[in-house]
Amino acid sequence: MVEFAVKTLLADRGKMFTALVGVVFSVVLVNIQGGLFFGLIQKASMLVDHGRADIWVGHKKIHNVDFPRDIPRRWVHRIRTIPGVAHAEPYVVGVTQMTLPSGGFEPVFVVGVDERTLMGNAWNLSQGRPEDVRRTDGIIVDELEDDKLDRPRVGDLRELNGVRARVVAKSHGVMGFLVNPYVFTTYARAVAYTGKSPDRCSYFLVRLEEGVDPHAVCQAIRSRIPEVEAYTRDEYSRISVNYWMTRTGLGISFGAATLLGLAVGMIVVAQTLYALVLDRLAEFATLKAIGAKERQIVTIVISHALVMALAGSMIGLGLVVLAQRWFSSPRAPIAISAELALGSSLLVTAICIVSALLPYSRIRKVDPVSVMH
Amino acid sequence: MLAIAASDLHKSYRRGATVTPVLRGADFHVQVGEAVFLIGPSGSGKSTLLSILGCLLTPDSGTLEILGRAVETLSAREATELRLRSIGFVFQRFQLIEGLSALDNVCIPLKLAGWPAGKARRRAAELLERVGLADHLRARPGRMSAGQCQRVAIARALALEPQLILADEPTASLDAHSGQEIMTLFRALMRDHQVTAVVVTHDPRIFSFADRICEVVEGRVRAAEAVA
Ligand SMILES: Nc1ncnc2c1ncn2[C@@H]1O[C@H](COP(=O)(O)OP(=O)(O)OP(=O)(O)O)[C@@H](O)[C@H]1O
Ligand SMILES: [Mg+2]
Repeated sequence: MVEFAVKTLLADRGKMFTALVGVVFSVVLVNIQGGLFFGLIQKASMLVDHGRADIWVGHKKIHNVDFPRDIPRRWVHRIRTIPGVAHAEPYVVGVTQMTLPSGGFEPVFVVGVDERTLMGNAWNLSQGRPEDVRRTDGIIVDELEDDKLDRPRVGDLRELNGVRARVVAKSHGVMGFLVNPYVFTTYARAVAYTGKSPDRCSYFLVRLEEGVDPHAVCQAIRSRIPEVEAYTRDEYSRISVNYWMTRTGLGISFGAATLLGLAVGMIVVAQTLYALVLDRLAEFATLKAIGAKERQIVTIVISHALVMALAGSMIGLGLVVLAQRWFSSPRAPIAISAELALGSSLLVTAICIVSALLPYSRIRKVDPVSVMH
Repeated sequence: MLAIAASDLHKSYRRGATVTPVLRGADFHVQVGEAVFLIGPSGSGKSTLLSILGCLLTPDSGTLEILGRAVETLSAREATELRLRSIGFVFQRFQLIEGLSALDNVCIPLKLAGWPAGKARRRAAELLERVGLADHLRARPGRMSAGQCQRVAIARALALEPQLILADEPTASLDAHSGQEIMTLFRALMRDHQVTAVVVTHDPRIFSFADRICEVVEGRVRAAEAVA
């Protein structure tokens, strides 16, 4: 019966093509929308995902990596004595303004890393080396933020909070969820740039010894210092992402746009399957008259939908891969996971089957006796 | 032995308040191996009777036995199974599936009966050869003449070697020459398979192929006078 379904479908290429366009449209739309959404939202946890720390320790109520509340720096010694901790370093994330040669200014996020370990430093450098950040007045900025920062070259000077800063290296694609550029520097300079007190910091970044359970160490940190919260990298990444997800309604607006597109695609599919069946009601009556069981008729209709879904998903995912290759950029990354690709195909398949119910309800009503008239 | 035993069949069509009585106490009996032609004026109920014999339509009252089975006692599923395995249908407008080749059309009942694809194809090819279409296995109905289409339809009706063939005006869409050819072929196949047939027709040129001719008049069936 499946073979029968495929052959009859292929016989009406025009309709099949239309339905395919609907499926392909839906698959591409869900993946690109979803990919853009995940690409955007994942920027919210960039520092955590690339920071190479196993555990992030911060103020009791931290909820987003970019907006910490400072804690006393001396607590770091207490963390270092906890079994399983390889090392722990203070880390600063703060906001300040950069004064530009043109006379303009730009609010930036200053990130201060431990001078010795450079944990949480900038990555993916296109000019200079990570350790250049140790040089006098050294800062690392991203080349994609050039427009905002008056196109600084390596060696150029800028001013942060009235303090001298020199661009010593540049990264490519280190951009956060917000529009403010990141400026990486050492802990000591970051304190000066942000006007913080040198005995305070934003986080402690913790590296664990081989094979230690991070959750157990988090628990130990919390009981040793009740004023702080400790999260594993994955936990804090998720928390930072959720911050924007829940506070902005971003998920809802992307989701709604995607659903709308899905609906349009599926209406095309349902419409076409329906038209396909309407054209052939007489043929279904014939099948029933010569002895097709209800189950066999269902098999045909579902096969029509499945063939569409399968072929459409494959073509759609192929287009998505191309689109991703061409259009994904650090500014608007398209992050398509295997789960998204698979999930969208399953979703589209399910909807195809549901949209086959409409034509099926029509076929059900066909009386085989109609072949006699 | 009787292939069809129908007694006192009644059937009316209801559309809203209007009731059209079509069969009014029809009796109809056919021996195994017999070819009985049904004639009668347009609208007399020939197709209605044929639909009832083919288990496509339920009579309002009366008793009906097809191939020894009381039709009233059959479930919908059993009736479908009976149509598939024991009854072959031939229609005026062939009712072939447009998107499928001649071979695939003949394969349909075989596939519905669960035959594996290869075996079904061999059987279908053999049947198409028997109806003279060995060179048209891959042809679509749209590319074939009316006579060729009806041959495909006959091959499809015979695919599962049914004991009963019901044909509604099988030559009405054909020219005189193809009509004669089809009926000659049809009778030859009937003989080979010892099939019983009921053929509704308006076409006096093929009356010579009948063993017996009956007429449907005023909702009843009687032996036709003029041509017997
Ligand atoms: N589904 C239906 N609903 C209402 N009336 C119907 C229906 N089918 C047939 N009729 C009526 O029943 C009568 C008998 O129809 P039937 O098709 O059995 O006649 P027929 O002898 O086959 O005619 P023809 O020679 O024109 O094919 C006709 O008056 C027809 O209008
Ligand atoms: Mg008729």
